[in-house]
Amino acid sequence: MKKISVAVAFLFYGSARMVMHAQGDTIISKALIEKAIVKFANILDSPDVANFGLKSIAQLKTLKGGKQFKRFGIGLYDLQKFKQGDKVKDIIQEYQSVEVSLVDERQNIVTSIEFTEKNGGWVVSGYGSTSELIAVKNAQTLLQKTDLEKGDLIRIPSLNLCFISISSPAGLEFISLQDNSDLNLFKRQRMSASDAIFKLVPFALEHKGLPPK
Amino acid sequence: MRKVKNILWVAIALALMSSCSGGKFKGSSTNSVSQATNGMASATSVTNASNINSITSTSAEPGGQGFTPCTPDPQGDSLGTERLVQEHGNWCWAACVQMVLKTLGDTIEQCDVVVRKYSPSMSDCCRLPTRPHCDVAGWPNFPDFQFDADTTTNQALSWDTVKHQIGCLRSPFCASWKGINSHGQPNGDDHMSVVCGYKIRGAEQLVKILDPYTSQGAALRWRPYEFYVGDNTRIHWDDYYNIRRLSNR
Repeated sequence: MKKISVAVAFLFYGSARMVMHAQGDTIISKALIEKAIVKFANILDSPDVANFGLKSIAQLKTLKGGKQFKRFGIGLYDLQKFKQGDKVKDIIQEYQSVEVSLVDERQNIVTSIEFTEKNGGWVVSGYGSTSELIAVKNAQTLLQKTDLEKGDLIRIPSLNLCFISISSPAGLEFISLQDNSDLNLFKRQRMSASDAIFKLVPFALEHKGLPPK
Repeated sequence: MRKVKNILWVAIALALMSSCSGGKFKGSSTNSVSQATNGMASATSVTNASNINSITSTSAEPGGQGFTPCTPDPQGDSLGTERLVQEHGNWCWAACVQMVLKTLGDTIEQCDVVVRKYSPSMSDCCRLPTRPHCDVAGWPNFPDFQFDADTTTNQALSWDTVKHQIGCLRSPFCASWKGINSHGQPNGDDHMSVVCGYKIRGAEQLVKILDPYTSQGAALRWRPYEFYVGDNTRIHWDDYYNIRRLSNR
C-alpha cells in the first residue's frame, strides 16, 4: 500500500512538472497577478481603454494571467561585436523582470503587466504591454502553441526586434515575431539563433543610439 | 448700490473662471490639445489671470521659472497625446518632438525634426526619408519650431515637476534613458519616450508613458514613478520639459 502511495505521489509530481513546463515558468503568483489586475483596472481611464488593446475595463477584470515572459535582451554593443565562433546564448542578458501576459478565455494575449524584483519580492513595474509583448500578441495566432509556451522572448530594443527562442537538439533557434523587409524577416520564420544574429549585425553597426551631448 | 453689487458679482465670477482656465482641462483629446495650446501661448496673461491660484501655488515648483502658478490635481491628470510611431529606427527623438508639439497644437513631420536639426546635410530627408543617412539619432531642438525647453542632465524630473508639466503647463515632455546590461554597464539601448500623464492610486505614484517604438501605434503604459526614473534595463538620461512656445512667434 505504501509503495502504491509513493508511486502515485511521484506520478502526480511528474505530471504537475510537465504541466508547469508546458505553461512556462511560474514566477509571479496567481494572487499577485489578480491583485495587479484590480489595480490596473483602477488606473485605466475609459478613453484609454482601446489604446491598451482592451474593449472595456470590465473585460480587463475578466482576464487571467497567461504565459510569464522573463525579460531577456541582447544589447546593441553586444550585437555590434558579435563575430563568427561567438555563441548567441553568451550575449543574451537576463534581467530580473517578468512580463505576465493577460489572456482571455481563448488564451489569446490581450495586454500585460510587468513585474520587477525589488528587495526580494516582486512589484509591478508597468501596466500595459511593452512593444515586444505587442509583437507577441500580433503574432500569436501564427505561432505553434508549444513554441510560445516553451520559448523565451528575446528582446533587441535597439533594432525594435524580438524573437521567440527555442532550445532544440540542433541548438538555439529563433522564431521571428515581426515582418521586416529590410532584414528579410517575416513572422513565424524559424532559423538558427546565430543566423538570425548575423542578419542583424550590419544593421546594428549602422545604429548609433542617441549621440553624446 | 445694487449696480455696484452686480459688478462685484460679475468680477468674482470672472476671477473664478480665470483661475480654472489656468489649471485643468479635462475631456476629449481634441479639447485638451486646443486648450493646452491656448495655455502655452499666453503664459503671461494666464499668470496674471490666476492670482487667486497663487495662494495655493507651489512657488518652489522646479518647473516654475515664471510659469503659471497653479496646483495640479492631486489625484492625477492626463493629456490626450496622440500615439505616433517613430518612422525610422533612430527617430525616437523626432517622434517625441512630433507628439509633444501635436499636443501643443502644432503639426509637424518627423523628417522636419531631422532636417532642421541637421541641415544642410540632411536637407533631402523629407523628400527621400528612406536614404540611409537620414536615419539618424539626435537630441530635440525645440527652437527649430519656435518652442523652447529646459533639460535635465542624467536626471529624471521630480514627482512635483512631472505633475506641474502635465497638470499646470498642460504639456507632455520627452524623457530619455541609457540602456544598461544586467551588470549595469551601458549597452547602447538608448531611447526616448513621451510622458503625458500622472496619477496617484493609494500610495503609488504613476506616470503615463508613450513609447514610439512599435509598429502598432506607440505603446502606452502606466509605470510607477520609480520605474520612470530607472529600472534594471536602463538609467535616466536627459529630459526635455517646460516646453513652451517662444513669445516672438
